[in-house]
This record gives sequence, C-alpha cells and structure tokens, in this order.
Amino acid sequence: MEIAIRDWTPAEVMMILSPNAIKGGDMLKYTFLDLIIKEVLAYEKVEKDGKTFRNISMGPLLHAYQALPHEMACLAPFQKGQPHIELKLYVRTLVQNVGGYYNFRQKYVKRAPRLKPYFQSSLWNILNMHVLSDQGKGLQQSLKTQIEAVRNCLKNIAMRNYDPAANPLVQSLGNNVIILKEWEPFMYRKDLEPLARHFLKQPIQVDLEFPEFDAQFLDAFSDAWADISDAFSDGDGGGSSDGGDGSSDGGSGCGGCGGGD
Amino acid sequence: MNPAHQQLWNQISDFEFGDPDARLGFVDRLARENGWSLEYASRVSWEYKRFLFLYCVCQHSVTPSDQVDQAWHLHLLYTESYWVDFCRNTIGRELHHGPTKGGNAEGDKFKLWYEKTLESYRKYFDTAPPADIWPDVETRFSGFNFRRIDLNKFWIFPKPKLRLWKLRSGIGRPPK
Repeated sequence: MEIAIRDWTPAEVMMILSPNAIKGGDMLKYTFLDLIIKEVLAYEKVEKDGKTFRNISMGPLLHAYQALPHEMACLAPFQKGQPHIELKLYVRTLVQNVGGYYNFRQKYVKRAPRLKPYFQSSLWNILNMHVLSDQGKGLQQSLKTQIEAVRNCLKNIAMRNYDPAANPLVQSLGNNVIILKEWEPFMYRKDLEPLARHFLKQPIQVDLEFPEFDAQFLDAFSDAWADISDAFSDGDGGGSSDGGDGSSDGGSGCGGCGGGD
Repeated sequence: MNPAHQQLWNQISDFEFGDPDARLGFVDRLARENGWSLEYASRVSWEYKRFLFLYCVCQHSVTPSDQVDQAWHLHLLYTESYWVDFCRNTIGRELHHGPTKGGNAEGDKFKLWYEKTLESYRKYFDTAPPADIWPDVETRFSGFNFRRIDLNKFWIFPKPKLRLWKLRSGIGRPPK
C-alpha cells in the first residue's frame, strides 16, 4: 500500500530526496522536532534561581504512539523511568546512543523496513552510497514536485499573499513541511502563527488523533525550534575537558561507600 | 507517600544539579569519570535523587548502591550546589556522607542498611529499584577494587573470567 507523503517522517522524506547528501544531524533534529509536534515528547522551559533550564520530557502521547525504529532512538532515554532530561544533555545522549549523526542516517533511517523498496542493492553500497530503485525515483520525483509547489506557496504567504485555496497543498506534506527553509518564518513571525497552527494541526496516524494545538503550544514550539537548533549545532561534541577541581580550604576525600543516619 | 512526602519528593525531583549552560555538566562528568554512557549516568543521577529522598524520610539509616554513591560523591564536590542549593535551600537540613570505618562489623552494618534501603525504596516508590543501578545486597558488597588510572598513560584490559570449576571439569557446567 502506498504511503501518503504526510505519513512519512521528516527523516524518511530527507532520505528519499537526497540519499547521499543529507546530513544525519538534520535528520535527527527534524525527527525530534516532529515528535514534539506530535506531542510524543514535550519541551519545557523552566526558570530557576536566575537560570533557564530547557527540559525534554515524555509527552502525553508517548505511550500511545507507534514509533518507527529511528524514532525509538529519540524515545529510548525515557523508557526507564526518567521523567525529564535537560535539552543539551538529551541531545548529547541521543547522539551517543545512535553512534553519531552519520550512523543515524546509515543505520537507523536507511535501514528502516518501509524504505527498503525504494532503494536497490548496488556496488555503491560498499562505499555507503545509496541508489534509489525505480519505485524510489518515482517517489523522489513526486516529492520534489509537491515540495516545490509548497515552497512557492509558503513564500507567497510569507509575503502576505495568502490564498486559502493553497491550504490543502501545504497540509498534504503533513509535519514534513518543517524541513523546508521557507517554513522558518512561520516559527518566528507572530502574524503567521494562526496559519502555522493550521498547517501542523492534523491527524497523522489512522488510529491516533493528534490534539489541536493552542497558541500556547505554538509559542513553546517556536521557542523549542530555536533552542533545539542551537543544541543540535553543538550536540556532537562529546569530549570536553575541564581544568580540574578547585578547593578553597585544602579539600578532603572519602575512602569508600558510606551511608548517613 | 503522604502529602508531606510527596511535596518533599517534588522538591527533590525538580532539583537541578548545576549550570544548564555548562559544557561539562554534572551528568557528563559522572559519565566520564565512571566510564558510563550518558544515558546510564543520567539514570543514576535520577536514582540518586530517589536515594536523597529516602535519606530524608526513612526512620532507619540508609546506604546507596555503589553507582548512586558515585553520584553522591560527585555532588559533594559541587559544594555550593550540595550544601547551599540542595541542603539549605531545597530540603532545609544537612545530609552528611559517612565513609566506612572498615572492618567486618562495619561491613555487616552497611549490608543491613542497604537491605533496608532497598525495602524502603519499594515501599515509597511503589516499584522495584532498577537492578542495574541498585543490585542485590550480595552483588553490592561482593568486593570492588577501584582505583584512579590516567587513561592517557595506561591501557586497560579486562581480566579473563576463568572459573576454577571450568578448568577442573573441562566443560561448561559446574560439577555437582
């Protein structure tokens, strides 16, 4: 059965569009953002003692959502009881768990069972290059055509040239609209907020109705968009060094496990 | 948990260990110093919060698992976070860490405390403590031999786990 474009995930769409050029980091970032839109994960900003903590936690639909293997990577940190994780730590954990951005593309997205018919075995595979099958080329072509039309549409809207007749076209991409560069103004401009809500608000899975987004959600998502982009831009640096410990009073250590009473 | 316990737990579980903008945060450091994955270290830091809660509410003395103890040691290094932000401003009392004095009697005492800690964990959190962070009493006190090693100067190889009975019987089953 053919999968509607709106039911593909952003990472899968990116894989079909440019199988050998797309960056794994972008795929992981948009997978994560998509799960926040679907309310499978939640983003929260907490002010405490003059510091701002950005936390990722389980969304209301985490347990109901049938995650695909590459999406599971984003949910794994919450599977063992931990309710929330600070955003930058979450991104570093994610990158470590998947074995780096490149691995995410090669081992998580590319090997997804439902992408299999769209790629063919080839000698290029030895060099980790991927070749689309005829079916894959067909899908790529139709995606490109549709995306190009949506791009023009979004550009027109951003230039205050809105035609409501274009709504179904934009909505046909589902959440995949977020991977387009032309989507960014919808995350920053207040005047575009109602439309942004309108374009993202839709049932995604047959058996799971996603809730309507209120203005508050979109505000939070707009914040999350910027913060998550920042976190991903430096999320792959695992090794940091420090200058050791400072102690003002000479310090002391303990010699083993202990308790308290 | 009664309402007072719940309120205390909320305060402890919402406690943040350090600066959110630090490049090397509490969990990163816990992971690095113990050779753990970030995910595991993150879970240990969560279990450490549960231990701190037990410390506050249990009528008996408590002892952490070795993993949780590492988180406690590290938190003690962040003196301002531990003594000011956590002890004084979050729970309003001082929680002291008491190292073992050594000897069999101390060993027995800590075993008993640990057993009681696991029991209280089940009682207050209504779930079993995760075995990979809170091992059973026997495993917890089976004897560790940890030492700081500069990985820039030394390689580390695991010792082979050959058991005497395997050598004697020559097969993969213990002799009866």
